[in-house]
Amino acid sequence: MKMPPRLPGIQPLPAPPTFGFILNALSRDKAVEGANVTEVLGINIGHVLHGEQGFEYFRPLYAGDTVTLTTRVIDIYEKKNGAMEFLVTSVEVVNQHGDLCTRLRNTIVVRNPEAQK
Amino acid sequence: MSGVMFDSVNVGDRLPEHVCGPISRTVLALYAGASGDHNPMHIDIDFARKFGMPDVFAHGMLSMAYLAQLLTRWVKQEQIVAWNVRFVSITPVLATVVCSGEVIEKDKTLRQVKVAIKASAIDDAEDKSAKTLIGEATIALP
Repeated sequence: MKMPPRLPGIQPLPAPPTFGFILNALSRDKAVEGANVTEVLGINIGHVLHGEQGFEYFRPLYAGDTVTLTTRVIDIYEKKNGAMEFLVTSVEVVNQHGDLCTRLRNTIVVRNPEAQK
Repeated sequence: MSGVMFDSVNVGDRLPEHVCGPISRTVLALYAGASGDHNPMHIDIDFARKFGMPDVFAHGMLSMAYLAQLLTRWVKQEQIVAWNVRFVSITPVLATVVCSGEVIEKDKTLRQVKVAIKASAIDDAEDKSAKTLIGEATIALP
């Protein structure tokens, strides 16, 4: 995915701390087949809550960079007899030089009203 | 900014509090567009009601971005090594978000500190306050 262009003579603009999460959301909008984990797993967005979010930084991301995101499903588990399901994913953001810039760790909670009854 | 030195920081020090909001529906609509998180739960009251919520509520990541501001008002962004939060309750629309942090650990070898961070939503209409995000940040200091 291409970040907005860098203007000549202007200092490279670093992306804000939570920007990796936004890249992830934008990559879903590109409708790359298999890029939207929740869609692949048939999760209804109306039942989703954000559980946890983490960031590790290795190198800065700048406007003008071209980045590649790789998402891995780390864990899936349930609590309360399936009333709450947890999906843990890890996303690595690598720049055009092949350097790992940011690693995200995301946990979403899927409420399953059927299981509560 | 950036004047924070490892030797002058002590366990128990508090970061300057960072207060954001109240979070209007406009802010939620703008954040949806800016962040690419178009989940209608945050912008469409009809959708929220359909899924059993009384009203829309704020994106968790909006409060995490406010917590990022808490940190970047204290140190430079590149000094943040890693951080994570748990979203412990939702932030209602119109709430004010109060971000705070406290140094809980100093690592002399790595010249890093751990900061416990927290966001709370103050709901003036209901006259109540709730913890919304809790987490930890690892910060490198000169």
